[in-house]
Amino acid sequence: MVLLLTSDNEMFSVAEDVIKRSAYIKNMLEDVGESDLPIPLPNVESNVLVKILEYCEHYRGEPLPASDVDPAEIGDRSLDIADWDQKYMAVDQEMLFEIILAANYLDIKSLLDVGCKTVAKMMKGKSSEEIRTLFNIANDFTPEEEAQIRKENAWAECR
Amino acid sequence: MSMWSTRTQHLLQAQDNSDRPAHCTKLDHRVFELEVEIRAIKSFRNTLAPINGIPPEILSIIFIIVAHCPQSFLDLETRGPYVDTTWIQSTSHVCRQWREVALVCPALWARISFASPEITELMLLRSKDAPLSIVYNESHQTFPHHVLQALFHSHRLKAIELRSDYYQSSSLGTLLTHHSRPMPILQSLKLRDMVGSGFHFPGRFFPEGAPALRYLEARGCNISHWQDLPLGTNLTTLHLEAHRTSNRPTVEEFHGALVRVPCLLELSLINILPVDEGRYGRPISQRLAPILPALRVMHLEDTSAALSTLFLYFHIPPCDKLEVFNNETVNDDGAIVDLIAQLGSSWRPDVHCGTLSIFGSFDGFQFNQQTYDVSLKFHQDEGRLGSERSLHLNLSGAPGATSGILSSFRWLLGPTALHSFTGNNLRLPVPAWNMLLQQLQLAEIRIEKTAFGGFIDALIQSSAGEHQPQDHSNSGDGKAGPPPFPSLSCLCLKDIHFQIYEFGLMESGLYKLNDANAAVMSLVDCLKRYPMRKISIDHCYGFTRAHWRIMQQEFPGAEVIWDKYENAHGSELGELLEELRDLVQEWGN
Repeated sequence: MVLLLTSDNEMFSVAEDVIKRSAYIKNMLEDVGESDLPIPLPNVESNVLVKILEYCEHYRGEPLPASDVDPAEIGDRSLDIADWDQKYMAVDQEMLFEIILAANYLDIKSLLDVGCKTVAKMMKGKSSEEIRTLFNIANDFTPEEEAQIRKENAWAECR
Repeated sequence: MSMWSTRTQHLLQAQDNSDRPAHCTKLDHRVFELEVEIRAIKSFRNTLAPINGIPPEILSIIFIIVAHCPQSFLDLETRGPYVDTTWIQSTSHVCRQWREVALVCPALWARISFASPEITELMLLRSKDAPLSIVYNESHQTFPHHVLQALFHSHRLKAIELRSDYYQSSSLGTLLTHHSRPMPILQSLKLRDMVGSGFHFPGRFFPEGAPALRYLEARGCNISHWQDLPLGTNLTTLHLEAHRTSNRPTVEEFHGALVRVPCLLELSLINILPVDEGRYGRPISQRLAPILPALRVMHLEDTSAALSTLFLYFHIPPCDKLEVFNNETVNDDGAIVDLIAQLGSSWRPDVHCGTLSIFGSFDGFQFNQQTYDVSLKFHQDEGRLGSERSLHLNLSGAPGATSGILSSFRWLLGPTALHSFTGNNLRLPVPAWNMLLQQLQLAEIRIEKTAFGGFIDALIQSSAGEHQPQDHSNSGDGKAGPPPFPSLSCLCLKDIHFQIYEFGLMESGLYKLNDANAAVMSLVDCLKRYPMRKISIDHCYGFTRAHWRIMQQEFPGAEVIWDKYENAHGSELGELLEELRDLVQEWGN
């Protein structure tokens, strides 16, 4: 078992094969070896870790994704998300972004991918105004920037 | 007024009528200051939005997913390939923070749009040195100048897709002839002009080859110099489809090209195979050296002469899936049988399990002429798990050649490989059934739109001891061979006539289907010798409720499925009353 200490000082005891989906923890365990000391997770709160562990538990025993894929590489990126993952990601926005942050911090590539796809799916096909409303963002562009944006829109629509 | 800032209050209270323009300037300046302040507040507020808590590198990945998600199948079919630019609004036009993230992410802008010259230029600029992807569909005009402008960035072209649906003279060929620059990182190239004049390929498009190319698709091409094709050791997928006006390669040119792609996994060749016109006059001492050792999928679509040339000169690699489409109408069923025999001598895969489908279709105007699709899909990996072979044969629409086809596939089927047989729209005479009944593992037979008198014949004759399977009768030990269809346990009949009034259709077997009751009872008597687990009757003429009942009684351990279709001629008043009684009883329960 591996002990994890969250930022709000909650201790979790987790099976090693479950938490090894996190490359960060896996590397740490390999570097440090067996230890009774908890691994501190200063960037993860307990309610978020509960959610992360639910994901790791669900995919326990499944092969880890290849680590040499550059997520920013050009190429078709399907927005398909598995049914279970969709249900798992059906949370409020605050939790969704906390999961993404934690997946990034803990280096859980498949979870980060699902999180990014979930947000991308929310954004796809929406206008800038609709995106602002969706994510509670204000338009802070200068008049000059607004003019440039109007031009870009006209260029992009021209066929 | 008390809620406003001191500076604003001061400006609003000041009344300097002597110098109104100066006062207006001060007010304008204050407005500007306030606008800047408001924007600063909005920008700060935006940092508190949950989504803006995620780091820029993650936000840029989300943007890339939004920008690069593939077109839907429907969109691709109706509109053709194009670069959707709506992502620009949904990302870089939302707020200043997002715009900054978008503008410093070159990969985001690397899928170049040709909606207007300005947007092309903007994307080429913002993509900096990122590898580029180009998609252009020439449907209403020739390739515009800004496509060429993008092609000039050849050193960073990673994917190119150029398609012409222009019915007049296409400029794709001109483009390939005149554009000549090295493309060191090009991985994917798709070119297509099927409706226009086609294009010469590769032209001068690859002055230094394409060392990184993995995927090459050229449809509507006319290949004049096979040695100039951008084929290399990285290529894993190759689709070539010749334009109707194109020339064919020689056997040597074709072989020389395929030798250069040893890592190829998927190959599709349409109307582009060599045709050896003088093959009958020149003996072939031996086939050319084997090629394509890694190939998994092969799709061939061509005339019988071209397919025949390929099978005569080449070893077909032991791929997992082989599809052969003879797209030339033939009026001699023997041609397909010959072709299959040639395939058998050219291709000897270690096949364990899979499906073999042969589909023949009539020429719409000349009833005696047919085209044939032969599809062989195998799953070698599954086969390696067990030693037993498991093949499924689907035969459809080959009325004259059925026996010949079955016979010519003996090399593949062997005595134990076939597990299921589906015959659709066939003529299956006794010789064809005699070949099938020797299959020791054949458990499932499905017959559809086919006169099945031959099947009853085979069952009756064999049960009477008339059939002696060849393998066993030759053994000389005097013992009787195994029963016909020794593993039969499932029979599915669909759109079958148990009673046929048309004389021509009765000829498929000696058994005359002129009495539905007699036909059903013969079938039942024969099937009683088998451990049937499923009998399915679907939309069969002459089959009635009473027959269904008999089958249920005679095969208590089997699932007897009937769709309750009764042809008006076949149903008796008594049976209708019986059905009515059943319904009343069901309601009562």
